[in-house]
Amino acid sequence: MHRRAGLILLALAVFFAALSPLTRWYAFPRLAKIPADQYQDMVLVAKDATLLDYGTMTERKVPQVTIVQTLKGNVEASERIERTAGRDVVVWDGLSYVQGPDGEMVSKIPERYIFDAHTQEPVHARGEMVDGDPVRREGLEFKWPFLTEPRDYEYFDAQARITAPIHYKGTQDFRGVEVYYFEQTIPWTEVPFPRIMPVEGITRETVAKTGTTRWYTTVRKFWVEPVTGAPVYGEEIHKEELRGGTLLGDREKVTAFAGHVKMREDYIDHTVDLVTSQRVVVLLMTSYLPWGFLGLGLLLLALALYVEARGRRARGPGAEEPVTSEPVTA
Amino acid sequence: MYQLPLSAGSPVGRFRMRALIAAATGLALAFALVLALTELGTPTGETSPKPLLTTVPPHP
Repeated sequence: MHRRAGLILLALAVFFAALSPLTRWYAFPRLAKIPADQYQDMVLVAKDATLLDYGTMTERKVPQVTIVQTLKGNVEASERIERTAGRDVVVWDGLSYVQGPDGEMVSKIPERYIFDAHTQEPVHARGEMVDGDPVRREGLEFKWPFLTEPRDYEYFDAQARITAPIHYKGTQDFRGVEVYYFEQTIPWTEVPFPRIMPVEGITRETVAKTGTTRWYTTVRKFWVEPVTGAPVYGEEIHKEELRGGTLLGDREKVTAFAGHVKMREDYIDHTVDLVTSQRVVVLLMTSYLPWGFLGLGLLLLALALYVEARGRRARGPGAEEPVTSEPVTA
Repeated sequence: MYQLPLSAGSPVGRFRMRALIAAATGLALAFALVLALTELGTPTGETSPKPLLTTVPPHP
């Protein structure tokens, strides 16, 4: 009876001890992924911003500019790409909608971002674009990988359509959450005009004929929760200028937009709550379960040895003395 | 040549063999469970019917 119990305990000990590394290094990389059907929105505001009045082509101070950013997982497109890519893919159709102080549209830029659901590495497929222009992303956008490391990453800038380093600048505490702070500076760069302009009749093509160009610089800041790789907060010090051409008359340049863009307070709270709950799920697979299984395995092994030792004592001394036999050659 | 110290026919040898089988069973079950779970994966769901926003939502 003791012997059978000891063997069952031993089997369970090995079962749980084996589950520990299997959960962390086999199951976690395969099960942890961004869901293909995710939908999320974000509101950012720039208080006391500068905005171009396209009617008079002069810059003006405005109390607030609002940016509404939506990301929507396109399940059909991801399934189509997965068939040829041979891995789990997420397709995010996004829209950055910028609204002026009177509720008028300032710009509206759609994009399609395709990436590996597990690693967040970009996947290149037809349809990858920013504002209708085909792009080939390198690096990250919007989200960092699970188990983010304290190091520099490459980050895709959708305005300039370029990838540049985003630097790790230290670990901080953000509203009770340990985060990695990242910062990227995009120097003044010429960027395309949006396809949809705020004034009817003006298009990217008609502006191009005037010789006026659009320039942009930004300092992008992200506070990223490292376990989930999700940013809990973001800011951008963003400036845009129109330069040269007949559109500006005798002026060399005019500010199209300048503002310090920050996440709206209610969205910060919402994001912190969301990331904190998702962090527990990831920690379950990377830490709580593996360590728990290992501890349970060791406990069961100790119990198996104890049961076996008790069994031997009960069977009396010498019960398990080795019986001499001829050695077997292998 | 390597020599097994005890034959599988002795009581200790039999016990060790059973212990080995128990350990192997535990290991095999752990592999089977994890492989089955990862094979099952997670459901993909459906594209949200909600639109890409062009108005400012009052709350998250």
